[in-house]
Amino acid sequence: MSAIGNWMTEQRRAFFSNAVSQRDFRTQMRGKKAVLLWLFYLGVFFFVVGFGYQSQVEVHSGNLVELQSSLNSFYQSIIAALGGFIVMATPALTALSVVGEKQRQSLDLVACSPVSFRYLLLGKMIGSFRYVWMLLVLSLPFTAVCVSLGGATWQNVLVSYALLAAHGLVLMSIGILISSVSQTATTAILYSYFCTLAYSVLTFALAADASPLFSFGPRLQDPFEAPVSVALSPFLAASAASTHTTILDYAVPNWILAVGVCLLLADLFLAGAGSALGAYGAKETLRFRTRLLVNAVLVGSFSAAIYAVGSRVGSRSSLTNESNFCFYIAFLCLSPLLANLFAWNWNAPKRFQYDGDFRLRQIFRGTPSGGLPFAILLILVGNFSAMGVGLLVGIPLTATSMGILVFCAGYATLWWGLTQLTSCYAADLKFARVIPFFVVLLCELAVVIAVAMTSDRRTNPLYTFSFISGPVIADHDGFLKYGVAAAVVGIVLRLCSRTPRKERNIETVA
Amino acid sequence: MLEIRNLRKTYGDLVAVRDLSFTLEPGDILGFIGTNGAGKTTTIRMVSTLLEPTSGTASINGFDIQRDPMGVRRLIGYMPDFFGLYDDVKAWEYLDFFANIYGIPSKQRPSVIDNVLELTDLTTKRDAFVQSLSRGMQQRLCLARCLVHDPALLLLDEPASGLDPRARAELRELILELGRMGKIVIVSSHILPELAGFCNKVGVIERGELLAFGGVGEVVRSVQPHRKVHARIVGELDGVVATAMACAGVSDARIDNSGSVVIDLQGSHEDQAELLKTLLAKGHRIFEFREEAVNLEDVFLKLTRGDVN
Ligand SMILES: Nc1ncnc2c1ncn2[C@@H]1O[C@H](COP(=O)(O)OP(=O)(O)OP(=O)(O)O)[C@@H](O)[C@H]1O
Ligand SMILES: [Mg+2]
Repeated sequence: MSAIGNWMTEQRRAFFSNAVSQRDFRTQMRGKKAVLLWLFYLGVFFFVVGFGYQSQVEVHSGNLVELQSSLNSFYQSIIAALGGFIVMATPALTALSVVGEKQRQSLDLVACSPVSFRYLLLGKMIGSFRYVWMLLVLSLPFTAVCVSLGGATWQNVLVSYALLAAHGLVLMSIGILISSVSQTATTAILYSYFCTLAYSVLTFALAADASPLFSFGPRLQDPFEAPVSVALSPFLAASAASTHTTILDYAVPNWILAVGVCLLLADLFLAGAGSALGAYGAKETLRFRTRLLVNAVLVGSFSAAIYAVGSRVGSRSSLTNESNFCFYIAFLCLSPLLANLFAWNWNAPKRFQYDGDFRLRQIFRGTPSGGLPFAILLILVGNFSAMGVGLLVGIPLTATSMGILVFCAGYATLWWGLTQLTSCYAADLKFARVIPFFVVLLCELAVVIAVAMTSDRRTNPLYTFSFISGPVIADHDGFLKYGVAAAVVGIVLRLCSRTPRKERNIETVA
Repeated sequence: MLEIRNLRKTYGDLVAVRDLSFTLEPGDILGFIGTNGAGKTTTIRMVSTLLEPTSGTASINGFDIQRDPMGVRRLIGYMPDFFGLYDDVKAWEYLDFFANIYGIPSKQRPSVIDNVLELTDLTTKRDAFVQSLSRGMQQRLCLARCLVHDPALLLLDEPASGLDPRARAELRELILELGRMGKIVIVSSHILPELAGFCNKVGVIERGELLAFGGVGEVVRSVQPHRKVHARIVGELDGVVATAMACAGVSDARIDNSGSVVIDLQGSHEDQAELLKTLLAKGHRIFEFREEAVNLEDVFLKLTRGDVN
């Protein structure tokens, strides 16, 4: 009982009386700079809106029906512009949040006080979230005009704002994550913008790919079914607001699902930031790893569901027939990060020092020996949830699905072996993490170049030397073969590296 | 009670702190002395849970810095050798922020803040912006921050640098007061005279190694086994020297340029009393007889060879 009470108190302190956000609030409200900034924002917004109005509404001034639909697309472009503002503003708001404290060395003061990093990060998040809300609230006059002219409904405005706020949360958490791993302000800003951009492009591509019904311009006001992914892009909030997904005969609005996904993502990134700041055995690492597992389940099941809905409503593309194919793609994209799980170095903090090869007990500790078991657990969880949900929504389970699973595990083992080898020789942790990436990149590039130099490119046998393209173009159990091969290579690499032994300090021996 | 056991920190091949062990009781004020790069900051940061020891550990009132860092953090106030102040924040807001972080209920915060501001003599600067304070005031504000949660252990890393003599004297008073309140205070410094006045323990660290630790007197005696006694006498001096030399425990006696007799005494306070008695009995007219104050500067220079890692 008291454990729950403590937990409640802790949450109340973190969310409602967070010292960090209170302090930020005091400084935010200070000075003329803030007012000027908001005026500037309003000016730019007014300009953008005016421009959109010119190009979309005026030309149709003759026909009332056309005017209606062009007003609607005008409204959509306002929301898209708003999304753009949020995408541009959030890195600026959050990129310096932690790195600034590191450089001012005030982070230490919070780190040696009895609050977790999560508390600090949540405070930062709440502080920046006020700005996002200000962006939204200040745009209200423009959207209100749209509503009164008949270009949108209040319901749509509210839902779009909720979606935009949720996207703001995700983008802020990305900024805070980058800020936590960065050491200097410049890299933090650079990488935050880069990652925010990548996230926006990726979600936009996902959304655009998912629904043929999505487009700017004249469109139905009525709700229609579309995959959830349409609601994941910050630019498409207005059009996604009226879509839904049919789950077990219920029409679940996509915005509710998307807000849920955004909250989980934001939570994941925040947990990552906390884990990056935490030390050996920190609660934050456990938190982050469980979040990763939860998100693997989500990516797996959502990708299967999106695929099913997409094929029902006639998506532009349908990837393959495997329910876990999307998870596999996501896994491949994120595989360079695997080295972070496995790399070790004796001079690094304790949680990055070698403590064995494969220990289940260390899965949630964040030490190198727990890296491979954790990666495999992640793969199992993600693939099985994709397959399970696939079966539920009517995608049959194939041998290739199982092959993909084996391949993911094998590929992780390959990265593991490679990282073990580099860790033995790398001078510091950074190298141990980066070198495997370059090795894989070079191997794959070599294949690509070799293929490019030959005449028949599509069915070139050289492709078989690539772990990325090999299994895709091979026959139906290609994934299985490549998975086993990758695992064997990984284990051989591990056997080739010398047994890690802590070198004693010269002075200690003397 | 603070217990440090075999605390060690290495950076690659460099041993920044080498198997440090000592114990402090409530009320102890430790002067932690060492040259630049001796390992003072590293030790203090390890005790304040900011830095992971390579091996060994420390515990405060039973809370272990590795197993129960949160428990430790509630008990310590760490004042770094930099300020870590925020811009655009008023002095009381800065303190309010930390009071909130340490979980002091919002109703009690104003009185706590007023108390620590008064203790550090900053009451008049309550509403001033932090960046508008002078260096010394900022330093005092940092000290005030350490005190908001009434910690049992204070870790002050070079607290007196940047303070004017008056502020320094006040700091000394403040630290003495904290010691009287039963707190353990660790003050690191390389400016020795500033420690001499108020520490009851000293630890001398050099190249990560604790060269000497103990009560001020003990450490001084271990380095400088004889006491210096100054005696000033009305009348003839040579006879005094001769008499003194004949007493037990006296290794040397001479007349210095100021005209007082300096006696090097190896023995105990008992011997010192005997010496005075003998001198008086011999009819020497002594109007001053005092033991020279311990000179930490000398101790320090003798212990450390001045080499840095
Ligand atoms: N992050 C680090 N990486 C490598 N070496 C370090 C690091 N921090 C400290 N050192 C080394 O550890 C040794 C002890 O440093 P420390 O800061 O504890 O000295 P100090 O006694 O506080 O010196 P000062 O009086 O200058 O403040 C130094 O030789 C320093 O170079
Ligand atoms: Mg120092």
